[in-house]
Amino acid sequence: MSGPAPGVLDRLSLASAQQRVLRAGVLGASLLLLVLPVAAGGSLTWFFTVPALVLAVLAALLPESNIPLALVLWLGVFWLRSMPDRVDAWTLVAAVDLAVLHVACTAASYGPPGLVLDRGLLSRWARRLLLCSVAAALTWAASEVIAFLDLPPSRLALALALVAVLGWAGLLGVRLARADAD
Amino acid sequence: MLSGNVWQPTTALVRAALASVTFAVVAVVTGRADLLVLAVPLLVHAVAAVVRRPGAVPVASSRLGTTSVREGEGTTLHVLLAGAEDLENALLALTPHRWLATLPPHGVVAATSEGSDVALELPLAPLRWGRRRIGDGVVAGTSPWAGYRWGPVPLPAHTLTALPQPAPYDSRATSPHPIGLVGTHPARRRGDGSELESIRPFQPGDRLRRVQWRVSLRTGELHVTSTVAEEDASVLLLLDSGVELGASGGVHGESSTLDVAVRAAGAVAEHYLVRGDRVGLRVLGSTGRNVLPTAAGRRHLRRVLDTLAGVVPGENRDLDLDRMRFRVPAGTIVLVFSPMLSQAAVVATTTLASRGLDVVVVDCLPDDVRLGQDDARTALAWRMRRLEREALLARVRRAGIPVVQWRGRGTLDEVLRRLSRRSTAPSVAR
Repeated sequence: MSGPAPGVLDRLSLASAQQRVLRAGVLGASLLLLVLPVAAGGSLTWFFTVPALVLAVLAALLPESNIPLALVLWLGVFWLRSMPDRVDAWTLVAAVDLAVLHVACTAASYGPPGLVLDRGLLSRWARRLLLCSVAAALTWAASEVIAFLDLPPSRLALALALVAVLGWAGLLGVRLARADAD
Repeated sequence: MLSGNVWQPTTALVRAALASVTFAVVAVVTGRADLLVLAVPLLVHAVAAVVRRPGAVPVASSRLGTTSVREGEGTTLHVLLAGAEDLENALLALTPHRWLATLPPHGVVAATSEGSDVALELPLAPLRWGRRRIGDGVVAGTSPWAGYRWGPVPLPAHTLTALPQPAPYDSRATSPHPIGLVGTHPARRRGDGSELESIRPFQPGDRLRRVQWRVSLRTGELHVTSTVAEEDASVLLLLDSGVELGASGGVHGESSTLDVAVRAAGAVAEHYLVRGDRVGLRVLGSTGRNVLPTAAGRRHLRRVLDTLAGVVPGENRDLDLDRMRFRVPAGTIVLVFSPMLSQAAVVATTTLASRGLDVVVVDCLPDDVRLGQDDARTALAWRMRRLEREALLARVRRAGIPVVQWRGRGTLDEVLRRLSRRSTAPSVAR
């Protein structure tokens, strides 16, 4: 067999059960993010949904490529267009879902399709996913508090909040990396 | 030994960094705080991966657990990554080869780093006899948080000698011409052996422990038991590697003619050498090391199997039999392992028989030989070839050379017994 399409199918047929689960995770997380706006009362546009579906399938087939990056960015655009401007519980679900998608792509891109990652590495990634989700939850909680205070809309306040969040997330990343090394 | 190249950012790091920054910028521009929440997990990953940016480049080296195994038996490819402090996960992907089985079958293994060195091990087994370059592949590594990737770095190939797995073989027949000093084959002369030759009157020089008291008392004259001496035999294995027919399925599959010949020769060599006899080997159609002088011992068995492992089919089709010197000592049995499909094998066989040597042809053409293509033209060509073969075999039989088909245990028993009877029978003239 030759050519890109048969090559991709070959890789899929050679993939281990673990790799198939990871790739199914990529597809499942993408689909969940695509149906979230329906559950959250948003609106779906085919113009954004269909390319996202195509990208999701391609990302599941080629997780080691840059297609998952395009998928994540497109899902961001999709979220922006499909959801109203508010921070609620669905936002946290979407953040965790996006993190799952990202981690599934990362774990699936460690090696050839036949690779089976050991349990130690998988549990390490599960722990990391949990920490990233906790960070998202804390950010979400902070935004809920600010929303509860009902402050007047201000770009400056948002920019300051952004700096604070980025600084905090960066610091958290450093701490996590060091804790991981220890 | 290879030193790897450089660490490069992974697509995961690029994705986490670019997506988180884009989301944050868009959040500010559009005033959407929810995008900031989406960006945080990716940002944490990106920062953690950059903080654990690796510095030292690992050095990879590889070796085979053992460089010589029997076909079907396993060894291990050991890959060591030294200086791998910054490595979280190492990966080895072996290049697939036709006659090589690995565990797991796709030949990819990974290991999580625990210290400064990472050891990767991949069990593998050659599926067919022969000398092969294996163990080539690539090794790669990933830093913590999958931020950076090292490699893939190519690994050098190693030579693995797969010795033929001897076919099941055993023989109870003795050699027709034992010519050595000590051994297990009953000789024609009297001596200190275990096989009874006769009971005869006592002669000066006979040992007292040989006295046969019952016969002596009955006859009133001293009688002794005489035995035949036991000597070792000399065997020359002549392997025809000029032609190979049939598709080989490896050690667990179907056999080609050369598979049968090599495994049969290995089995016969092992049988005689374990019993203390002397065995020599000559490969017809080989350009490399094709002559192994007659010798005895287990180390010689290893040399025989090693030479058999180096056999390449059809390597030399232009044999000059006139210039070929077999240097076979008198009394040697010559066993020709051949499918008898070439003129050269027939000429060599008849030449050796004309020198008065006991020559036996072991037919190595399996009954169910598979030719690969089942079209009418191939079938017709094969039919013609079989007719030619029948003519060659008839020529060999006319020269008084016995032909036996290889069937494992006891293949040579009957023919060796016949040769023994022929050698002990009184002959008037030849």
